[in-house]
Amino acid sequence: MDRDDLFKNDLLLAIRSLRAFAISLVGRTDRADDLVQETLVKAWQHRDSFQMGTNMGAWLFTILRNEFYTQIRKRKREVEDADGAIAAKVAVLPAQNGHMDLNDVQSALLKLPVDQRAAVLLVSASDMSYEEAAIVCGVATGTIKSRVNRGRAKLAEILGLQAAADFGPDAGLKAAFASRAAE
Amino acid sequence: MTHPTSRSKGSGVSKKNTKIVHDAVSGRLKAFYDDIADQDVPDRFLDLLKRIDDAAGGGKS
Repeated sequence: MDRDDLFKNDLLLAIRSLRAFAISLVGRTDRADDLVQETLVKAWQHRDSFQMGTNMGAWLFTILRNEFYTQIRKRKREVEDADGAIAAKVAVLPAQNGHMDLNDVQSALLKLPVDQRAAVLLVSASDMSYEEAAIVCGVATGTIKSRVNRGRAKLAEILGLQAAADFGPDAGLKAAFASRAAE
Repeated sequence: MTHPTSRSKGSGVSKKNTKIVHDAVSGRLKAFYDDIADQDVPDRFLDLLKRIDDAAGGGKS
């Protein structure tokens, strides 16, 4: 395999995680898949600037995130007008899943500001370190930490996981129950 | 008076609660995220990689 083949192979291996990030970030599978496609093409065009052996996931997520922000700027008016409409159009997961609570998570995510949404997804869902997430988002580590904290608190509130903590000593049990009941 | 015991105790409890809530949120997020990541890669991406030189407007190789 030459370098291009290896690179292509790495791209192939990254598609699942790129889609998970894109779909949860955008909230719509069609737009998310377009975003993944643009990311793969951009990555290919810039493959010479990627250092083989370094963290390709973070590199690809950076491209995807930048591309997403570019689209948001382009569509700013449309997005502002259609905020509610987008949330209402959440149809991310195939019907065979039948996991209603997963759609709850998606619509809760879409209620977060995009900066917080991206930070929470990178750190809490895709298991990136704060440092890696900071690189992907092009901000300081401290900024990521505060976005993750604010985003998580807001999600807890939207998903009804917040109140359980206010009940006192058995809060753990209640939060655990609330979380399990939703699974 | 700067560090009354009742306050430290209170913040300890609320710290614990915060962590419980954070873990619950992260658990929900992860389940959601992994569910998408477990989906099969759509054919369009396999096709794209096959013809990525064309898609990228001519390859360098």
